[in-house]
Amino acid sequence: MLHSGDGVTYFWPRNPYIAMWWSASFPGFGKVLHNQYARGIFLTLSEVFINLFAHLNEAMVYTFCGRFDLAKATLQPRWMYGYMAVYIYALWSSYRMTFTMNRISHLAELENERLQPVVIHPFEIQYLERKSPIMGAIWSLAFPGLGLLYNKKVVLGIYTIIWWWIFAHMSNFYDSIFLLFHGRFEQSVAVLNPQWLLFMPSVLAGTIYYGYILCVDQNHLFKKEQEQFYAERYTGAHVRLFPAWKS
Amino acid sequence: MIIVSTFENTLEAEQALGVLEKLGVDACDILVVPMRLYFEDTSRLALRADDIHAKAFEVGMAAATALGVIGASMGFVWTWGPILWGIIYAVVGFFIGFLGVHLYRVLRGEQTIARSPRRPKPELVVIIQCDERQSPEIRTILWQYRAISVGDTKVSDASI
Repeated sequence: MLHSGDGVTYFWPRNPYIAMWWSASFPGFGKVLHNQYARGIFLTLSEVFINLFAHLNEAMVYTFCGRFDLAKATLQPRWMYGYMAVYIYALWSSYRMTFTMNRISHLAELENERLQPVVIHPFEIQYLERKSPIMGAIWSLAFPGLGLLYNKKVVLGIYTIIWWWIFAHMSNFYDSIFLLFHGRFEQSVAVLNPQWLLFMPSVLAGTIYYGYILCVDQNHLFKKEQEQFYAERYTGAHVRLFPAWKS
Repeated sequence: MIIVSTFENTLEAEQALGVLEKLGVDACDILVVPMRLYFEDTSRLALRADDIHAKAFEVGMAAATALGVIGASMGFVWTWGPILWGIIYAVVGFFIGFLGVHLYRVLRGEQTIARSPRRPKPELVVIIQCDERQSPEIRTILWQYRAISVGDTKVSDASI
């Protein structure tokens, strides 16, 4: 585990299928789940832009609506092949990497190296503490990125908040919700931009999941750190529970 | 005399011990035992399968994303639109995944390994050896920093 101004970065055992699934829903999420932020963020950027150039989300909407002719016409072959290669690589490597990372996690757990409880950095203060996973999920549900800030992921949280605003702006998401509340169904569908809207379910669900699961992990790290501290300091060297043993 | 108390793994527990030391209780007279709330097998890869709810949540969220995207896509041609259908499909997906994991566990006849207490969970046992005159003060501090339970015994004084 590394404790820094950007929160805790750590090895943690995962389920390989879950890591692969998040890569499938949004390439890069699997890497972020493995705490490999640079590659993860690069892959998410590549996903957004290449998907945009290839009009993949629009083609997906047409496909699910049964308009295969329109789907074929929309998809841009120029961008499609590269997209496929990157997509499949993200899937494969998220799955493959989990096994090695699980082994290293297991070794680290057995080794029980001392964890650092507090970090003071000029721009941030970070500390291990006990948090509620449900609150993490709820904040992410309210606005993706807040659940990450809640879990001390400063850079990733800000990155996600900015992108959610971009998605919401480009897809007219909140305008559409406003119209829905007023019962104007047809208008609310008409204002939506499918290309940008389809990024949003994956980002929303992914951040809810992170908001929850990071809390579970970090609570575990907090408990570990406290146990290490107690084992060092409160060994009860002078405590005599049973007088008969005293002699 | 001996004072025994239980705590959750919280910062308050650490505060309580710090305050006690300040009051003159020697660190050597304090023994902290972290308790396991379920059976742990260190020879296995520790997948978070021990926490069945976290696992069910994991699968539920995965299913919610998959169905949410499909619902949002198909919603473009349905009356209520992509947002409502996306949400409806996502919620249905979540429950399919969440309940599916629990159902799978029941069908396989898997039992929860140990009875896991609800919150507050007795995760720490703190044993303090002290003089009888100090005991009320120490007990007050333990309760103040959210001890779950506090007990004391004079048994060990008999032969000292």
